[in-house]
Amino acid sequence: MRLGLGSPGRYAGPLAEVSLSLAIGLAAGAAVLAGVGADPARGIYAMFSWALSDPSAVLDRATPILLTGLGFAVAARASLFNIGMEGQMYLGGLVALVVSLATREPVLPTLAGVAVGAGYGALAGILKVYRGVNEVVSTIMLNWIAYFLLGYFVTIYYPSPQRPWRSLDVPVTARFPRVSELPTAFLVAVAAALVMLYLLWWTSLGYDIRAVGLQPKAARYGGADPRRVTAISMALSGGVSGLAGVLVVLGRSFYLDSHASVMAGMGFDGIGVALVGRNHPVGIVLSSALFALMAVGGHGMQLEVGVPRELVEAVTGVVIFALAVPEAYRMLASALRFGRGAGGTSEGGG
Amino acid sequence: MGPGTGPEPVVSMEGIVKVYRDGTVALRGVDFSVLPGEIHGLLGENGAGKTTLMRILYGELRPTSGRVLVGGREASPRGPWEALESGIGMVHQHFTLIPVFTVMENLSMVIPGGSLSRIGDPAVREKAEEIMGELGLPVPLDARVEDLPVGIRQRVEILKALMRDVRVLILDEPTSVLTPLEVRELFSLLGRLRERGVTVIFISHKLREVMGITDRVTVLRRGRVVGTVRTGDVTESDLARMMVGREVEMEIERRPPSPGGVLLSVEGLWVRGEEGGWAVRGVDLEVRSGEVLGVAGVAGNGQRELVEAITGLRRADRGRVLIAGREMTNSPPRELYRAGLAHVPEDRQGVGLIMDFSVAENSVLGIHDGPPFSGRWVMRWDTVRERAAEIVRRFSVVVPGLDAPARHLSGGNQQKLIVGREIMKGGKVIVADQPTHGLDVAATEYIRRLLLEERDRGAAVLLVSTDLDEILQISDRVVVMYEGRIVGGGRPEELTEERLGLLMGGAAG
Ligand SMILES: Nc1ncnc2c1ncn2[C@@H]1O[C@H](COP(=O)(O)OP(=O)(O)OP(=O)(O)O)[C@@H](O)[C@H]1O
Ligand SMILES: [Mg+2]
Repeated sequence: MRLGLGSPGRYAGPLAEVSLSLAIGLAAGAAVLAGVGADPARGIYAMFSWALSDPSAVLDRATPILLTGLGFAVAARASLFNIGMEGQMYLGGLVALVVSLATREPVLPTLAGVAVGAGYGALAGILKVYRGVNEVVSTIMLNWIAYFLLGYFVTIYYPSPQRPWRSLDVPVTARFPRVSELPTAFLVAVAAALVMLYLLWWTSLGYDIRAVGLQPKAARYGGADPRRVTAISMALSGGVSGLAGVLVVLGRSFYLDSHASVMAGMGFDGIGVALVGRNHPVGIVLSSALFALMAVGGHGMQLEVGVPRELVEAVTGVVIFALAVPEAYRMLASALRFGRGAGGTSEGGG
Repeated sequence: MGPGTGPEPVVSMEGIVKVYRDGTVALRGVDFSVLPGEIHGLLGENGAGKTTLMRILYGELRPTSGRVLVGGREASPRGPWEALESGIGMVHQHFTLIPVFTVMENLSMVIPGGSLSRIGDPAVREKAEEIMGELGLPVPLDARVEDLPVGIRQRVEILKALMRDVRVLILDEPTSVLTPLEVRELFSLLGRLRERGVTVIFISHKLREVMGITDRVTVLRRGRVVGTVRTGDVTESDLARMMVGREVEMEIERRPPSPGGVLLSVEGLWVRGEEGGWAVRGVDLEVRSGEVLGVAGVAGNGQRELVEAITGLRRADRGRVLIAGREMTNSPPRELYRAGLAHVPEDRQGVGLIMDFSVAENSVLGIHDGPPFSGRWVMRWDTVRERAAEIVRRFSVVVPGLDAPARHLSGGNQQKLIVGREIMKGGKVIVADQPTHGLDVAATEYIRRLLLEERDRGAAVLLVSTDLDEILQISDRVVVMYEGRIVGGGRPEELTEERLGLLMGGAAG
């Protein structure tokens, strides 16, 4: 258990940082509540107790954002800013739905959804490598394309006869089951996080990805091909994001609608999840759970304390913001540090 | 100005202990003081704690215990701004100027109350011009820093420190990036500063420089002061002995070369530089098995581009590169390494190491992809760690641990890690670009010896260095590069320093 996970001591700093951020975030959230005259202690208590009384709802909510968080992180590790998780997720979900209607079992639809998501991610990577298209720009556009493709297929090819704005249902035999209350889809997502952890820290490809992300020049000296790494990490990113869509459709909603409202926004949530989880698979598992907990518990706060939904979102937003700031700062700082064409003569050491 | 027992120290540090957060003990109770108007050398092996001690004096680091006295009063600075206020300035081992700003803009940010809003303030310009005039320190004030050569950038760094009326100026390895001429200019500047009563603390690994310019020297070893001596009372080998704790061989015995077949050949190579112009203009080279070819030259005459083209980091536009007879022009680095190339790059922090990777991870950079360090996919971390431990042991790299990031190693130990890694590859061709930059005497001799051992083992060594001593000491043949061309050369026995100096300056013949 070294390198990726590091010695236990390596966690002391991050843990302290996260605890501090969480404390600041909760305090600020409480201040927001107090500011509108609500009882902050009761509000926060309602949030947690509500969420913890319905753990499977929390896990359902965590599943897709865990995966899109991983998707953001694996690209970020290669210093790519993928914000196309949303579209990659849509296509993954759409393909899973379509394939499941034919196969009536979950495996092939899952693989197909992952593959299409990966291909969609790779497309942005390849555009960057061979055409110099910035991945932020291309993935924003690809998000829209995926959104309209999804709406088109749902309403034209697979509409439900009773409710034409939504699709046919996923066959019962193709759904991810629940073992007692535990959604197996969540287990698949956690498994994906473990695979990502292994890939980044125990394979030579992961070595290259991290190297390119940290110091492209040194990575090139070290034999990594930055173009290949860019394409591959975008594909990986798209693959897990596609899996997010698959698991929403086969694990929870069992249908899609023309606005993708069963998953809308969960691709973008991945950015926050990844930042709070420090772009590390273990951190992302934890942070996705926290996000889900606040999302589910937010209802509790709304109902029990009687604050409007917007305010609940402001409170969770404040907490997330406090948690994301340190990692966002680090990413920005390192982008500035190495972005400036490190030319010149940098000499000497610590 | 003969420093004796009389004058009060300008600055003194008492009982300084520094334990870094990861538990590394960098300083173990150091007492250090400097007198007004002296040039005080600070010597020590790599990792002895020189930079750490000076960063404490400059307020960048807090000591774990101990105190700093300025003019006899306790004034442990809480940050560089406080150090500057008490008249202590520092020029770092690496540059800290903002490259896209002009010199004036950089200077405007350091004056008292300085900020971006002071840019264009005529008072700043006046002050800068006054200092430049008095000290004979010409700097183009309106040029952008990134367009300036390294030697001038350093002057700007010094000027920046002097803008704050410093009484003590710390220079951390200021000469390692300078050409011999620039070093001479720097020294005469330091002499003028001394005349004006400024104290200079001068860190260098080059004993000759220390002997030449300092009044007194303090030697550190493993975080402790070995002693402070008057430069006039000691010899170079005395200092070396103090630093290392034993006798150091200053001379390297060199067995006569027994060159074999050509392992590296470069034919008619043309390479473009950063700005698109030709940096290498038709270079031909041959290095045989069992020989060291030294490429001398003032920095910036195409050596970097030549090395990058040979090692797969830059496209060659014309010409060929052959390794062991195989055409390898513009091959990617990984293929070159497989063909038997090892490369010690000039820029150790930007290219040679991934600073946030651990020592273990860095110890296989470039050979991590494939046996024995990985299978088809999976890293074999146990094998990697064995290799890392072997490098650390064999090349005496001082590391806090194999999992510590390379960032936490001292400059010299970073270099040893790279050299060790490249030598352990056991390659046929070793390209070593400034392999001993910033290394202490013992490490320098050690690495030169290692390169010679590699030669004796049958490797072809291409040594690129701006250090003439180094070139003459271990090369079997020498060529001089000037403006992208090879302008001459010969065997080191036949070449005098004067002759080399002329060639390096572009005087043909
Ligand atoms: N940020 C840091 N964290 C942990 N250890 C550090 C850090 N910076 C330096 N060290 C360690 O402290 C010791 C002293 O380092 P320092 O940089 O002061 O050496 P130095 O004398 O300047 O060496 P060099 O000549 O190589 O520059 C070394 O063992 C180094 O590894
Ligand atoms: Mg140092």
